Amino acid sequence: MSSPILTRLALTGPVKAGGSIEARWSAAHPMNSGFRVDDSGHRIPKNIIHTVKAYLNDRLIMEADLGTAMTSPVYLAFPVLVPAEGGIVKVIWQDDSGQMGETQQRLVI
Amino acid sequence: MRRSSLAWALGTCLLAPHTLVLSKPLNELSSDGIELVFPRLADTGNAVPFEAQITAPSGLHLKALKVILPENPNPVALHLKIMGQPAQYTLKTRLRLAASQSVWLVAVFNDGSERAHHAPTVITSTACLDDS
Repeated sequence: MSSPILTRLALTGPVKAGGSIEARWSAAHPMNSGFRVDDSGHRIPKNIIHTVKAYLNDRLIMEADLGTAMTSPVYLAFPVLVPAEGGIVKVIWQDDSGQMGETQQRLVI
Repeated sequence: MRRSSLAWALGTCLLAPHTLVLSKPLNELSSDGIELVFPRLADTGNAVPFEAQITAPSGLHLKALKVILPENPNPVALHLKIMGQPAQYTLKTRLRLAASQSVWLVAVFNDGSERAHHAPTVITSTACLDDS
């Protein structure tokens, strides 16, 4: 049941201290809303990524509560302020089945 | 069995109560400083790209963003809590829509004030029953 979920984190834009870049995060999660039925007519239980947290150098910068209206694959893009020393952007997620994941990218100035 | 499940799913899509906890009706809030990019027409509700650009009033910064789809079974699509103190924010995502509706974006600022803006879209097939 808990096959690995492919996730991707990309940082785009000019990396300049004090500037802002865009972090794009996506996860190939089925995001089952709980409203759909399978071929045999059984309801597919709800299993979505409900929490996404983004950290910059281990400091929480964004926390998102996701609802069933998020697509599969789930996609989120948000700005990150570039600190003078650069650092690491990390995104962690958790779904309804308890599965968790983590992706990180280095910010090099 | 299959028929009853389908009826259940349809009922959940169409009859969900539109209950939300908000300080004011959304349409009484100012929409200044909020730009939404959302297609006026979408072929399916399975993945509709959504972009919001928010500029806080001078002296304030953003604390939270909510994306609300009033006609969806679960109307709150996204609740973003923002920890830095940004005066500007650009959020991009993709949404699943149960029906043609207006997407609402609510921005909450550090003094507790809220602003909201909406963008309508028409979709031609629902994301509730299709299994793709």
